[in-house]
Amino acid sequence: MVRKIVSKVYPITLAAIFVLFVILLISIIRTSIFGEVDLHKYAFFEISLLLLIAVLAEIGVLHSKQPSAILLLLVGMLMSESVLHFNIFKDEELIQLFAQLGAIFLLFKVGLHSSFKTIFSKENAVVGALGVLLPFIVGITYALATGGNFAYSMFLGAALTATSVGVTVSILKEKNLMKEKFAEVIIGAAIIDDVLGLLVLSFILNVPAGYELPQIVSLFTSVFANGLTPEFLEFALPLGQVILSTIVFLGGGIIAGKWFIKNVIDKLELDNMSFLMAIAFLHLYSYVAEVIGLSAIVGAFLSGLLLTGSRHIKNIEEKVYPLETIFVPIFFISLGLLINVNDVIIFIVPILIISVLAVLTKVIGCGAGAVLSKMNKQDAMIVGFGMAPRGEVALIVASIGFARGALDPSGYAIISAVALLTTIFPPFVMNYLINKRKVVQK
Amino acid sequence: MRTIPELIENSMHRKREKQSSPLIPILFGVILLVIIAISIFNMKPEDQKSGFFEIVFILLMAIVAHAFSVNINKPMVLVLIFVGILLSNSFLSTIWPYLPNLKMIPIDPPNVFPNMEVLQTFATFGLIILMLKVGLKEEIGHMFRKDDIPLIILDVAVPFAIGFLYAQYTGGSFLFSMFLATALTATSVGVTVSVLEEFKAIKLPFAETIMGVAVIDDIISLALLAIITSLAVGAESQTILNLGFLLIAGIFYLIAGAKLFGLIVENHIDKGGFDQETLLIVLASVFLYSYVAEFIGLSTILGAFFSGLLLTKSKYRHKILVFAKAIGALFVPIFFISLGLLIDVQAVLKFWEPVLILTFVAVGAKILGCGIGALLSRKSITESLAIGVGMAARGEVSLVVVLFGLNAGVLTSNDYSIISAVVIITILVVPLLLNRLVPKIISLDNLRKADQNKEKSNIRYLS
Repeated sequence: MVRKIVSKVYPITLAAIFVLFVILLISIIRTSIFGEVDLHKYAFFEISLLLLIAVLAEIGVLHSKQPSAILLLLVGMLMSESVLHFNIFKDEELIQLFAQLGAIFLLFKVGLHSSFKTIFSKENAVVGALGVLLPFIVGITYALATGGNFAYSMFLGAALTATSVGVTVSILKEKNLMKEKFAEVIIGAAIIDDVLGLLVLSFILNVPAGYELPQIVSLFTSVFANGLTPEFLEFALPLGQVILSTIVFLGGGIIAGKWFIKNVIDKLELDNMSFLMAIAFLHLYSYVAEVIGLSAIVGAFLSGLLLTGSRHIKNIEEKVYPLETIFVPIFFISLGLLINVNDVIIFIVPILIISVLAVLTKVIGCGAGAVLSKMNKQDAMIVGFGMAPRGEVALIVASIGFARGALDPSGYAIISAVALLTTIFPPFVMNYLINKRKVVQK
Repeated sequence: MRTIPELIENSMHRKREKQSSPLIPILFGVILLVIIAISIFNMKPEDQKSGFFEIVFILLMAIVAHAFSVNINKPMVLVLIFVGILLSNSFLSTIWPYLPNLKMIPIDPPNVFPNMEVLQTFATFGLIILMLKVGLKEEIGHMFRKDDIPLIILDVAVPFAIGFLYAQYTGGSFLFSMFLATALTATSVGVTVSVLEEFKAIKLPFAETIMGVAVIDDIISLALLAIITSLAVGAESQTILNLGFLLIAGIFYLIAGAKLFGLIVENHIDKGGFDQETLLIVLASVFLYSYVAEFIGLSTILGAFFSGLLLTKSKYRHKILVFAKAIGALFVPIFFISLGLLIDVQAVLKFWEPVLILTFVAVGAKILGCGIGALLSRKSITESLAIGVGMAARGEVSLVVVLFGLNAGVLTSNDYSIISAVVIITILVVPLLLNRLVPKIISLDNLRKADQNKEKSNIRYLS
């Protein structure tokens, strides 16, 4: 009898407790978002919320076949203060640190997946260089012509040089074309683009604030007329310092890093220890690059590239994956959070114009490079459109410019919107071109 | 700009031909040293970079500690906490006046970690990942056994009683004695677990007992804390209300949380392959579950541990563990170093007598209580001793208790530094003692297994 009652009551109580708990959970979330919570505790809520958003975005990726970076950016935009009119993410410092780590791990992975030999071939160098020069010049010219200040034009130029081949690669993988010549060129040239773009960015960051183009031109002409003037030195010294330390960092970093990997990391037996070493190596290089005046991501890329020579590469790649999974989505969401949606709506015309210019310059620049390195016209077009997405590197450029105060919110909104548009549309064109190519071949 | 790929290739060629001039690498090394020196001595304070630097620096220190611990054959946890102490503000400012007056070193002691808040958050993440890892390794059935009931009772009662009596004897007020006693009751499983992990002893029966009992005594201490805090604040009705809320919420949290996790595991984690999405779901739910625990008034540690336990039901249990380890590699050292940073060296030097006595009392009480309890729960003498020693480490929960006492005005800042110093010292003592005990138990365990095998083979032989 008693057992019967218990067996009937038990599931009901369990269900009741469950319901009450869910109510408790919801009320906790409600107070967390709207109420006042101790900031130290709130950090956990923030991070779990960000990770949950990332989960939703991943599910969205499966359905919409858009790259997760784009979806995360859009979600971040929707959750930003400009849309919701209140701030969900209160502990900004923490999110920024997480985002910075995200950018570092992203570039580290890019570095881990590339190798010196396949990247720095002649074809790639030609395609990459043209793909950087043309967008850079056109970007700067456009910005100056429409009355932007010098810093903004430089940033726009630098943002347009970058290439994100994530989407392109996923399409190529789907169609089993990764072994084709043009696929190799796209990947190699994209990495060269990124490296050049990052270096350009590093130099721009060190141009002293407040200079405009005519001023700089007159500074240079005065050097030819009067020799070194103190005004010129004031302008050129920081820049020269960066160039010098960049050379020392890249040259010395490669030699010292190779030595370190060969004599220290490769001598380690324990998997765990070698991974820890690799992470410390990555962080040290990023930090040094950041302090020198380059940006942390250059150091991250370089350390990744160097670690490809280690015998522990498999182990490192495997273990970096979960770290990347935490930090990278937070990075993209945080980029979206920074975008002011009102600015995007106001500046929709320039955004569209710049996006068209961005795609055209890449298609023409990279296409011409591909034709120069003796590819046929069709493949050259595919390379051009494959390289057109700007994606994460352009976003990084914009966010760094914003963080350093070189870009105002509207400038940031414009550049990130352009990055978004150029990443969404060109892959469709490329897809179409590839399908057509197959028909022709048949 | 086009020269950059060439530059990289050139430098590689040079390396291959072994004719490279040493100038550039040497310059690079100099830059490296200068940057580290500048960052430590904070000559160029920039907020955004300093947070980043602290993490880089802690990682580097963790690796040095790792290498060092292998060399001197001591548990890594110990070395990490020690490194934390060496880097702490209080230690540096204590030792600074005695350093030879070199021109190279600035007069003022450096503040290596100005950005403590971010560091604390990272440390707590480390703790969460650590407890998640521990939970993933356990079996629920092995942890909570009826046999262990005397152990649990004595584990809580003896240290509490001894702490209370000690405080009364030294002339503390009733509330002060309650706070001290509660602080001495809670065990820090984090430290003990990492030591056991390093010895690969986490699967042994005595380690599982420690885990189960430690979790329970954490819960009891938190309940005690809730009671005495409300006593200290003085609102009677509030007390019962708070305690009632904590108890009910805690029960809901465990029962319903388990159900919720079961649903998540069944419908989201185990469905389909193990990909990025799965990992994100796991991490998000673990963080959220820990946050809810913290919000209710339980601690994050419990939340993380339980979510680990609940995740053992998943078929991807081992993959999750592998990933948790990789993430832990970044965060967990930060936790241990931050424990070392918390200790106030000056206070320890100033009040070395009470600190020493209280440390003896704290360690002795646990060894006595748990040791006898374990003997009553039918463990061998060596195992009982190991359980007693393993439970002697106090940690996060004790620090929380002390902090509450300080905020409630019951503890003075001197009391605070004394008790927190004792807490940290108990953490240091445990690995040293376990270092000797655990190998013994492992060899005993091996012997027993060998005996069992022999018996089995004998039986087989006879039959």
